[in-house]
Amino acid sequence: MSEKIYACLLRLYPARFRRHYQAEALQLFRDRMRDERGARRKLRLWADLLKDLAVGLPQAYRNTYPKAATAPEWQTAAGSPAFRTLEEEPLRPSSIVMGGLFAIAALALFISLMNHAAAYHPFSTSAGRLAAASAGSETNPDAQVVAEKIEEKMGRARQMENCSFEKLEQHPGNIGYVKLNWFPDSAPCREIAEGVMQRLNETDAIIFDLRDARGGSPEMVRLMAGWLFDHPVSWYNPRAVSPAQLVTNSPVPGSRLADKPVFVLTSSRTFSGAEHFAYNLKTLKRATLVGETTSGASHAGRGTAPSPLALSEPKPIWEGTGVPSDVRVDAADALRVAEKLAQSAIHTK
Amino acid sequence: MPKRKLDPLPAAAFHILLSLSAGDLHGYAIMRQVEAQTEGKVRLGPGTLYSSIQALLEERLIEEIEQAPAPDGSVSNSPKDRRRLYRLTPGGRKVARTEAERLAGILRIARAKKILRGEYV
Repeated sequence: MSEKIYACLLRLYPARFRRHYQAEALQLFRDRMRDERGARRKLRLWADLLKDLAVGLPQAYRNTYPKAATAPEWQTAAGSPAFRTLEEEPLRPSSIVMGGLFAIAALALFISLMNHAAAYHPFSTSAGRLAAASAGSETNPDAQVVAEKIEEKMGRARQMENCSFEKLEQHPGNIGYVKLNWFPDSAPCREIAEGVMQRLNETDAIIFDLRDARGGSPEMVRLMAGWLFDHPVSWYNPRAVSPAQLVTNSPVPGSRLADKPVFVLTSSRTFSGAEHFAYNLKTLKRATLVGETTSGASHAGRGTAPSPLALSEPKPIWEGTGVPSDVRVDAADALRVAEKLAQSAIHTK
Repeated sequence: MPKRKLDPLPAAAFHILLSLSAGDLHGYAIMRQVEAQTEGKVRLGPGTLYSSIQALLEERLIEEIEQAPAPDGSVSNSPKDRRRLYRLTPGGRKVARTEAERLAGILRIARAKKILRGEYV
């Protein structure tokens, strides 16, 4: 106990003094405690120590403690590596026990934090995090909104990918060539479709290649066809849900396609919505179909229930039979034949 | 010439120089030696002792030397047992003599003034 008190008093001395002399000062104290027995001598010892503090402390701070004079053991010749032992005394058992307890406490805290941080999954995908954020929307209502917005954007991007027209080319003789494998949904793709049709304004004839077209949106079929007329025409539409869909929206502002020859390439793989486009343009005598008879697939084949506003014929006229072409050639030759027909149509115009 | 830290020489430092004049000692032995040579009047505390030792080391009046072998011939490496030994340097001896002469001169004056009785040397 007495030694601890004196060790505390020693802390008043400068660090450099303690570094050099603390062990010896404590040893001296222990020696005196051992040698000076009896209450009177012990009392004298403490009086000496207090007096010593008053005299020795200022002097300890006056000393300069040059390094060369006090730490010569670890200084070696220039260039040679040196190791300095800062603490030579072995660890006391109490220090080891305290260190162990602190380590266990730190580990327990770390484990506890890991268990309570389950909401954070650094290795999950962004979709997984969105789902987790949505699931935790009770605590974070914004997460739901953000997740919905992102999902909406991703959906729109997927649709935009599907807006792609396979080809838009200018063939010899200033023939506009559009290859379409799918009539995309009119809502997200209308602008793109209009862009394609505007480009066709600069051509003298148009070939729609529907030989690999699998179908698509009836509304897109009607919108694209509307560009080809200069006045509204009755539009056969077995899938119409409103009277407006039974007539083309011609004339479309900006369209100069009404007087241009139109050719539609068909094959036995031309399905559904593509047949719809081909059938109407053929019936309206607005286009020449070149190629093979279409597949004759049904609109209802896509699993949608017939609309109450649909015409009296719930199934398309071409279902089962297909749309016969005007110029019967193999699908492989259709483009070459159509180009010749277009060129002669341009010249005879 | 820069002023020396130990000029005038403090009493504690002078006592330490005197205690080391007879041989090398470690800290506690110095304290005991000083106590003995002053007939118990001066007991240097650890702070005073080691501060004075540090000042004397810095002025090169004493020097630290390697631990002397124990009586059985072994050198103890235990930090608790290891004590630094201090030795008076020639410079320290000269300073001690100068201080003693200065005090002797004062003593002569005091004696001439009949302040001291004959029992003092």
